Amino acid sequence: MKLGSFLLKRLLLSIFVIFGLSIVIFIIARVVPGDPARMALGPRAPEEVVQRLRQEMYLDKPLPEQYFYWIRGVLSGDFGRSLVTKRAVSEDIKEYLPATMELAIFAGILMVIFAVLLGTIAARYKDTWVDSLIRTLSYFGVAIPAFVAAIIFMLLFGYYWPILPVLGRLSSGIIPPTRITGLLTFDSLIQGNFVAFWDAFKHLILPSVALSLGALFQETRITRSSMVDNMRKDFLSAERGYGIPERVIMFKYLLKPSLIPTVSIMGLDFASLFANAFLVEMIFNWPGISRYGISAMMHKDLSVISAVIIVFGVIFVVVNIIVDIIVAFLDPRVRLSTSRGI
Amino acid sequence: MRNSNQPNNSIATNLVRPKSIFWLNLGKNWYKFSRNTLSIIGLVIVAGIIISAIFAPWITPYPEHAGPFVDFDNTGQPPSLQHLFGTDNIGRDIFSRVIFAFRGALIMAVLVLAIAVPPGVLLGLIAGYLQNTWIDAVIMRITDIFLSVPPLILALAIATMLKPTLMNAMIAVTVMWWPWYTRLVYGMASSIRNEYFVIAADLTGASKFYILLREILPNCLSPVFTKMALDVGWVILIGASLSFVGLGEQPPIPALGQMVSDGARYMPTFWWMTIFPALAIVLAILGFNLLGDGIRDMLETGVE
Amino acid sequence: MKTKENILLNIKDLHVWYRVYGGYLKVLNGVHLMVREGERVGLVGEAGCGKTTTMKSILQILPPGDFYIPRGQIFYKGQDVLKMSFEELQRLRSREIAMIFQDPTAALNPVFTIGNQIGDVIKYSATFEENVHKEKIKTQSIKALKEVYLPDPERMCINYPFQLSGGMRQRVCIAMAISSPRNLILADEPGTSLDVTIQAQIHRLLNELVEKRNTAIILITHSLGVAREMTDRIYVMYAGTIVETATPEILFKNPVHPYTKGLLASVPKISGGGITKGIPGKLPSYLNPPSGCRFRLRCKHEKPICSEKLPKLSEIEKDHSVACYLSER
Repeated sequence: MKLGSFLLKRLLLSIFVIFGLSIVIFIIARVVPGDPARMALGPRAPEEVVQRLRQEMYLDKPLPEQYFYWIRGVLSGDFGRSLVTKRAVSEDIKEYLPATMELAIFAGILMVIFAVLLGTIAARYKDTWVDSLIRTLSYFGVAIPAFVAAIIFMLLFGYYWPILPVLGRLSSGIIPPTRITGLLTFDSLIQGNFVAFWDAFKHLILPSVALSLGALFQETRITRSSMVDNMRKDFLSAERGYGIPERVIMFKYLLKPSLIPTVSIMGLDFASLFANAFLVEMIFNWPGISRYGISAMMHKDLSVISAVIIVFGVIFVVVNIIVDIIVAFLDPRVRLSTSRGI
Repeated sequence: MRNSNQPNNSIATNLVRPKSIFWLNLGKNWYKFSRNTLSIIGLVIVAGIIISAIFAPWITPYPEHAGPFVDFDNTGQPPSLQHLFGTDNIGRDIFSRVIFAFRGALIMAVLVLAIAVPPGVLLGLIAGYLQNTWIDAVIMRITDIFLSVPPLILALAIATMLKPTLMNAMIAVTVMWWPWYTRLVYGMASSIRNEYFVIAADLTGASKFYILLREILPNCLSPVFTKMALDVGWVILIGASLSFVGLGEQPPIPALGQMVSDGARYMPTFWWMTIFPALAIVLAILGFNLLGDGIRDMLETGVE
Repeated sequence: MKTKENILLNIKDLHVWYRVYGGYLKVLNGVHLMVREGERVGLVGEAGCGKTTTMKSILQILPPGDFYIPRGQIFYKGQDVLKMSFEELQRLRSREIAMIFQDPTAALNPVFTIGNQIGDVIKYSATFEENVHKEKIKTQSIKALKEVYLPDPERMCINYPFQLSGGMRQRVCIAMAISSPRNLILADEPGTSLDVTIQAQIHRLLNELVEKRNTAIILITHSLGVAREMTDRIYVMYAGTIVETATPEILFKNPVHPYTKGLLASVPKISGGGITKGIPGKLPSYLNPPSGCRFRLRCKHEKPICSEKLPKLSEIEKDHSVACYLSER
């Protein structure tokens, strides 16, 4: 089936890309000046200990061999040890990734719902005050970087109107749910722990809004312009001319073709949320993988850096594949015309 | 005879329009640009930022505050007539520092784009024209690899590996910027190369080089210019994010993100230390976004 | 040629403007057109003279933008379309009038199946207020597709527009237009974007359908030959005005307007005569149209009065009206 072969090609390509990424990361990590073994043990460790660690870390072997050992470890889940937390990196990732994931998912939901909603409304009421309002809001929303939004939220909701919590994922004194997925809202919900759920939810609001703001409004604009473009197309006039009611035209015949370019962008934006979360995580004291990765970069914690980048790469690739599936689902030309090499 | 009722959304109507015609049609282009008041606002903002950055030493009230300067008597002053944005924790005038910070931001943006765009565009042209050959595959896969890493992360990774200076931050951002242009141009080039006039040029014996530069490139340029205008805003954003975490310009040279992060500590009482640099960032991004949209309206719409 | 005396459509003095840089494109400058029940009307003119705009104005489906109708009335069954309420317009579009677009590829939504699109046309048309069962819609869709001689209609329903050839797409558009009984069909150069044999098939198909159901039709074409064969009355249009109208026999035997004469002379004849002359010049600018008669700049017989006032369409003999000062003696 053509869809299947299309997906298979994409999958293989993605695997290739991830491998390429790992090579690039590896090379950059090794190119950096500094001795990883020495850095791990500190300046006062005796030389023999450092030498032994160097051997353990295969630092004396040629580069391709080092890469091989590293990849082998990565594929079996061993990313090495963090210089900062002194734990296995995989442990750290297991702890921090769900936090960022929760944040990203929440932000992603906000993005999609509001972008489509606002974009459609703006297109429907094009050139009226509603449209102008949404467009002006969009211009500002896009121009506010996540960390600026985060700081403003801190100021407003942390000090002036403390109606929403601004720090961490859970207030002290709330019993967290037993960890199943690591997503606090999800876990507490399925365990019936509504107190924890509500608390975790409240903690999620501000960071997700700050994180999603820029992308949300960018997507609003794209949705709107895609709809406006399609509104001019002949098939819309034709459908209107046949007497099809306006709301059917709007929500069926206009929406579907307009969503196609938007979906790709949404996918990209969603994948970027994971990485761009670090500023928001820092400001809201959110224990996520983004913040973890950035602090690793500050401390030149190479194993962590490489691991985090690989994780982000994988997430990016997975999200892209999902987006491709959705686009193929929406646009029959993609699905059915692979023979033409479009 | 050409049916003027046909929709003008195909590339065909914008094809082969040499750059000189832009200036000949300046009046019309200006009309298209100025249709939208927002574009004019963007132009004004951008012009304001550029001019104030260029003439910073002469127009700011306290130019020396952008360098090593302390005045412990005047720390933490709220906004007033003498200090429009107030003073920071060691007594420096925030307004002057913001203007000087724009300098670094603009220089970085200009240099990053100047270095990243030409190779990116060139690679996209080559890959697009030689579509479905191994060259295309190689170029685009490399591009994909760079694109698969979220830009900020890559920039940070590189910037931290090197010493924290403006130059290194710029290198980091440049390295992750070019793939976007490659992708953009690739899409356009690969569809344009199938247009008849390109095939015709090829048949009449034009060298591939000539075709690339004279036939395909001019038709790809409009979105590239639009993107460049918009990108200045984004580079400023990334630069601010980098300096927020301490990379980029080092103190005492002012940088917008760094000023935000420094001032965050003194919130909420001394809110002006954070808010004004933050607003400055927003203003810059806003201005370039509006300008970029106006440029897009000007260059890319077909005749109604 | 079944013609009754009831007037179905009566366009009076229609002006349509479009706002652009530097002013307005005054596309339509006083169009008069009349269609009776069951009548086949041809609208002939060169590309860009406003034929499509006229048709779209009837259904009020001009593309969203800066269109402006400063003057004019479009009477359908006695009611002015331009003043209709939204529901009345809906009723008009879904039950009375249907339009077949010139470019079938652009007229079909690329991401929905043919069956889906025809189904929706049927669903929202004749059976406007009633709820229709899906099976009934499906059977009616297949019936409509059969009437336009599309092979294998069941499979066609699950296909997407891009999987069909141009001729098939045009047939689908026609099927959509005739899927429920209509009183008037607006056919905008059907088959122009296809090759000539297919075009001939399409014309024959239209003819057949129109005769079978006694539907009136406005056939837009830039070919006088087609108009002669397939219509009961021809309107000649130039630069947004109707310059002459007559039955085909009268028009071909006794053209009065210089433009009509020029058009007729441009048609190559099998009987010889070499390469035809054509009409020198081109369409005037709609932004700054010439005052008075818009054809005068290409006209050999221009008189001073031609630039002062637009000549009105007046009857010079039975079934023959011209808008030209030449005809007034």
